[in-house]
Amino acid sequence: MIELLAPAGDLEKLKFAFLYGADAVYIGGQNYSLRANAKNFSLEDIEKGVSFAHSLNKKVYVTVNIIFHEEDVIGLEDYLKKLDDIGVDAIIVSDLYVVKLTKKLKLNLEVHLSTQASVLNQDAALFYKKLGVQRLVLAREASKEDIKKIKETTGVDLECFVHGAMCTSFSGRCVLSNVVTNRDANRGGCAQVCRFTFLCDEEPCFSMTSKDLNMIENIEEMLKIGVNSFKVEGRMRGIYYIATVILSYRRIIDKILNHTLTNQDKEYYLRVLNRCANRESKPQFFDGVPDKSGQYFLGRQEVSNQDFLGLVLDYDDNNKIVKLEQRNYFKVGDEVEFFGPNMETFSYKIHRIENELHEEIEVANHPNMVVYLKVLYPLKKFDIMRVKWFDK
Amino acid sequence: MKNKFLIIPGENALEKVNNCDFLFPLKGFCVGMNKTFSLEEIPDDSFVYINRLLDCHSIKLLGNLMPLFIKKVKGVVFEDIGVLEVLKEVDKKFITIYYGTHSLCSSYTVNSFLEEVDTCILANDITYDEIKIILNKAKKEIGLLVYGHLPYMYSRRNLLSNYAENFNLEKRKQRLIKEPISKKEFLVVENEFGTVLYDPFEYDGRVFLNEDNISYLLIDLNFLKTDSISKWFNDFVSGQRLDKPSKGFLEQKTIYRLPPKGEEK
Repeated sequence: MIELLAPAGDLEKLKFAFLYGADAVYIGGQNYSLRANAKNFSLEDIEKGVSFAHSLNKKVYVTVNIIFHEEDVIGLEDYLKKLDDIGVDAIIVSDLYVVKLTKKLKLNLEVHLSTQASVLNQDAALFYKKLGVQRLVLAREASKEDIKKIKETTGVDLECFVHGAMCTSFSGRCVLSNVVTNRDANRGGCAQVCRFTFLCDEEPCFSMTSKDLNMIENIEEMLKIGVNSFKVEGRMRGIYYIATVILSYRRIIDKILNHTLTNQDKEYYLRVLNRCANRESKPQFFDGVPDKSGQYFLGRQEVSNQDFLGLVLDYDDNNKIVKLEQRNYFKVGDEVEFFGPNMETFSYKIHRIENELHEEIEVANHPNMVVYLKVLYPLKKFDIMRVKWFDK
Repeated sequence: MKNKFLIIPGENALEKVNNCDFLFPLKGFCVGMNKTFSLEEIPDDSFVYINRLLDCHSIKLLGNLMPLFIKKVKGVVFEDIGVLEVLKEVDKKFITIYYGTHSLCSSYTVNSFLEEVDTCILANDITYDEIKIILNKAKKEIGLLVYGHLPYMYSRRNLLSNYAENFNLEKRKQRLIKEPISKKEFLVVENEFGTVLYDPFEYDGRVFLNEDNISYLLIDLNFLKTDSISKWFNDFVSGQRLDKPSKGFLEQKTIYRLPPKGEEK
């Protein structure tokens, strides 16, 4: 089984993730998840998400991956039973108590071990396999040799992160946030203190900020060594990021499986992903411990981009008019491109923009304003218009 | 003292201390330690400490050491659960001690681990009240750190070397850094297996010296130099003031949900 696994911070993102090619999503409930300050899913939302996913023959995993303190256990058993009743496909856990409780309750859902448990070797993998854990999300520090060995030794389903932000520490082995901000990192309150800068005697400021992970060039090798699930980080990310990243990995994986992947494809999707990211990215630990090029040395080094120009709401086939919701400033004369899950990306020069009243305007400059453009190629609802930066 | 102690000796001369065993950080299998020991260097019937998270190659190397473990080792304190599997394969019953530096935060989790190992050492980032509850509810005796520098972060990256290389500075294996807003300081220690950030203050957990349901009280002298461990120990248990004491998280309950806007303190 090969799976592309996407993050989803809410129902809208869940739908985009599936639409753009994810086989499964992972989400957080209102409790017990490591993104305590995200919007997260109510039980009602989880039920809707699961129902939507199953209608597409896709899966939903729910993170229950905090490190439990005494007070957090209250309500956990009921919560797990409810997730099981709803039909959630798996929970992602890190605390051994939750692993054992889930097995004791004889729930139907699978138990996947979170990266927070830092599994990095075959013996740790065997420990959890014997407890009935069906899948391991390996530590991001696992090299290709580690992944291969763990697969060969245990045969257990392996899930590896392929894209997104990295902790500087082993995930789960850091309480800097607790110390500096009093926010508990291992219960979802992480303040990302590893992205701060620190004073260091008379020397330049000390920084340990990690660049992001990007495995687009290594997917083929990951498939060969037995990775089952390719996981994208980012439950706090927006729909544009999810659509772009998931579609890129979907296309790469499909082309590998169809034996049609070219170097040109890899280069193109690498450029797309780099353009979409707000930090530089590297394969990090896949080929060994990263050197200084895996880090930033001036603290946070993030850039935001305004590439997401509009979301397709509708397309009039007869008149070739697209109805678009604006997301960032664009104007007549701009070179843009459209992309979506069921089409090849194409370029387009904006010749005319009409507002909601069909009056001609020169610029689309109000957030979420509805505009109309004439586009000859057919589009579908939820296709996306973005800035054009390069040709394929 | 009614409780038993495990002492990480650091660079100090080894001398017999009543009611105490030494816990030797094992060379090649530890991070953040000033002094580590090979199996050849330690006495028979010793406790060894493995605080690294081990990759596949390293855990295989550990497996290769098992014949010597049988001869020299009585008990093992470890953080990587894979170590337990390696020890189970050996025809000797070791005392197995799981140290969940940041992960053993509830009696439920502790009791789950106690079904697998002989005893556990609790997380260092929980409060006094939480520790008391866990001690009361633990199904076996459990361990606690009572002295040392609290480890706050463990990275596989060589953070000090990378920093020195990037700025063309002299390479050092330890540095003190300070977060400028909170003024919190961290002692950064690196070896070839990664980097650990410690509290530069000395954790004082003497409030637990006479607790019940204790398997071992852990004393970590990794950063302390003394002429006599025995004298230091006697001073410590008799309540002598530490140079730079810290209560760690004993009185600091953390939060993880931010209060709604307008209700912040």
